[in-house]
Amino acid sequence: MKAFKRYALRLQRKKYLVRAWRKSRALRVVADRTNAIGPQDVLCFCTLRNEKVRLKYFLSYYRDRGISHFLFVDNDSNDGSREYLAEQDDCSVWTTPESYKRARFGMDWINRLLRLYGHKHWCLVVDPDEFLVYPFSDTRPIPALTDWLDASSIKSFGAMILDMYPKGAITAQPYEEGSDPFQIACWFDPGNYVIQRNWQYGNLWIQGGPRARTFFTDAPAKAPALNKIPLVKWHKSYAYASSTHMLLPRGLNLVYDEWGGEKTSGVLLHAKFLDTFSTKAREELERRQHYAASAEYKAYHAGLSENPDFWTKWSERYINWRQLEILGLMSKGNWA
Amino acid sequence: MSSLGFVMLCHTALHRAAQVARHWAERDCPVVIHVDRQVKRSRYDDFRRELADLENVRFTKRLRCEWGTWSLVQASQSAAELLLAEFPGVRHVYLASGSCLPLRPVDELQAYLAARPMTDFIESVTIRDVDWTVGGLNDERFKLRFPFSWKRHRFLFDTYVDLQRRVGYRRQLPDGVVPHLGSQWWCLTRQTLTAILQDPRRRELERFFSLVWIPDESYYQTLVRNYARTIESRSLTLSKFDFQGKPHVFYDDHLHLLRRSDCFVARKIWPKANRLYNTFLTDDAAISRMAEPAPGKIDRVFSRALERRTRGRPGLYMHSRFPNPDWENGKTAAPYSVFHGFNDLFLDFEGWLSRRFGTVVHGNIFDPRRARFAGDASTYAGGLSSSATMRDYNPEHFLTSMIWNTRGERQSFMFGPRDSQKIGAFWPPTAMRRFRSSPGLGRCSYTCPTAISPISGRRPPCCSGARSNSSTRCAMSNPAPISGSGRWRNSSKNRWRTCKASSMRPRGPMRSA
Repeated sequence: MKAFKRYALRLQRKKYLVRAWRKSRALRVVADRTNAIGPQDVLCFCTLRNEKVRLKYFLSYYRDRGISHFLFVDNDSNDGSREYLAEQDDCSVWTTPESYKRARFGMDWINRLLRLYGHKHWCLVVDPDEFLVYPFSDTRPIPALTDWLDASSIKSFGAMILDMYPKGAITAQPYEEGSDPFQIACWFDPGNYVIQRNWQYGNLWIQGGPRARTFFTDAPAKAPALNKIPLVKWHKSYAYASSTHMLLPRGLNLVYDEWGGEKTSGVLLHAKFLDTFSTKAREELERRQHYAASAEYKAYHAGLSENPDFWTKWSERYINWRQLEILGLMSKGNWA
Repeated sequence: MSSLGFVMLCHTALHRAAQVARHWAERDCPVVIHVDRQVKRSRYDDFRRELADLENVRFTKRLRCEWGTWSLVQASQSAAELLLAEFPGVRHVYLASGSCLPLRPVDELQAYLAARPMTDFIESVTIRDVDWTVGGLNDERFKLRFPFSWKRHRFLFDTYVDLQRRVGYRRQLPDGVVPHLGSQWWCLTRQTLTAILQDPRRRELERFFSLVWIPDESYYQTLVRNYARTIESRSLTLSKFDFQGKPHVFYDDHLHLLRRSDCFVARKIWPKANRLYNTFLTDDAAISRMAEPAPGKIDRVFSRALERRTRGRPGLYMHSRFPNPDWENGKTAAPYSVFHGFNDLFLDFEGWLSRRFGTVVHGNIFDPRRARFAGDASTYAGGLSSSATMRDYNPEHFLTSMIWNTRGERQSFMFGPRDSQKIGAFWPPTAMRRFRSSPGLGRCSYTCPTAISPISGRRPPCCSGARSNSSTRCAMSNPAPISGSGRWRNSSKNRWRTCKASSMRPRGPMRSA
């Protein structure tokens, strides 16, 4: 890469950091328990809006896997999410009524919190409907993974989003607060993903899955990106460039092996397609706060009213991480 | 008084080291502990206090230790000297680290050593026999000087090594030193260890070894050859190394694996592996089988990790494996067959082929309107959509995904000049060349097989009198014809095996027409 391109990326990173500072001035503290963060803790960062029904399971899932502290940005919820989170002993909460879109889909707020509280910590940045599955996630907590990554001098850990969906209409089975969403949405597409390299940032761009197959058959290039780098040993000079799809400096995006081997990686199970989805899609369509003029939600809205069933006879039922490993959706890599 | 003493080198997870030291000390084995100077004073004091009630635990002067440097040998030397001086009953000295965990009762280890009173257990192999060193430095460990830290001053380290190589510098080995390497975790007899530590030439040897790279893997391993009577060239400590030369860590889910290995001590254990520590640090009247340690039993798990990390699964493209061109180690997960033009000539060619081979045979999966999967399905294995737009968005991954999703089941499909041609670039250049050299259907660079092309222009596709005499050869191999095989780079010769056209001719439709 040419020197001036490298320098341009450096400027871009600085720009994101300044922008994060600027946008974060709209954040108002609801509960600040960051004093309780210990030096070895793994932190979880999350932006949300009206996700109360998911939070109970979300918190218990990640607590069980060894996350010590949660930092939430609440974007003007009115369903009690903020109050619920403020009561939790291991959560710090900020709130803002500002535009989600103008904060680069929440990334500016998160970048700021990462810089302030994530420095020298392993930080997991996820949405409330994303559940990290990594090799040995049934027997080893996330700190086991991060300790191993530290020992291997690896700074970032990649995961692909795997859209989970129920069999039949997605509104057929109502989701109850606190229950495992993957009891309902337990199906996924095992092998219809396409990958391209993004040469500018060095990351992979993955598309496919049920969303692409159902909503984007005519415009596959517009299908949502599924590559994510949710777990990073943060340094205050880092910045997420576009959602959690890519980071700057660009070396952090190299979570894949180019010489034939497999690096250790995980999967983010995406519990988006529950009965709550159609109301959410309608609401988001009205707010117009999502990526590319909410093209994704427009497509969903059109698609869901026609045929709300993602299931095909080639769908796989989720069992555990070993199944995902065998299917080639994630890899143990060198971790044994 | 016990006949076995331990030397422990600790630098992290001191609470675990204390647990293990207590385990040994309470079972009447003296322990001498060295704690890295870099550990904070307060933590060190806590650690000492934790073990204060044990009278057979000693601490040596703390040195600043760094991986790959002489300081680690110094630490073990001083601790071993203290152990030998203070506990005269000790006949074997076991060098362990703070992240070691005993897997079998100490009594068993003592009995095992008592049965072999004059044997030194230390991996000690000549440089030629070593296959595990990582980084390319084998004999150069001894022939060059390494004054700079690899961890902290990588640039100086590399530059200095490079400089020495360029000027052809070679160190002189001291007399009687034949370089040997091995695991740094050993168990030596009092006689051998005393001889090494009281060697009249110790100063000279130390001067030499202090500039060797990673001397803790070579100092004792080399000198033991001069003094020991019987050497068992293996370590009693189970440790597995990965492709970077970094030890694999053991977790709770390795419990059965560790049990099965029958080793006495394992390293490294994850400090938070509560189940391992709770299980192995209790005396639950372990079944004393006096089994021989067999670290090889659990090799499979770790050699597979190595294979996966370095070679990966052929034909897999995913978010942590995206090989550069020609590094795929197999472009697709399995060989597959492409039938070029056959179904334009013969009625129901797919059906016939499928019946004949008993496999799934697809139609033109690159048809410009939609992918013609077998049975005309709208989705196929893995959730592949039959939409032409979706397929043409990335035809290579469409194909590789299809082959990956149907591993264990031979895939065959039709292809023709009317199909979407973008995939052509994916196919092996050798096969493409072959296609080009055959007389073809006009502009298209890869034509139908030679047996059929002469008639294709003149007769309708389902013609009954296709007079392909039996000596005409078609470029179909048996049962893998013009396959873009998974490993085409290595097998270009056999792929083009030919067969008699007559034996392959689809009989059904020809007769009926």
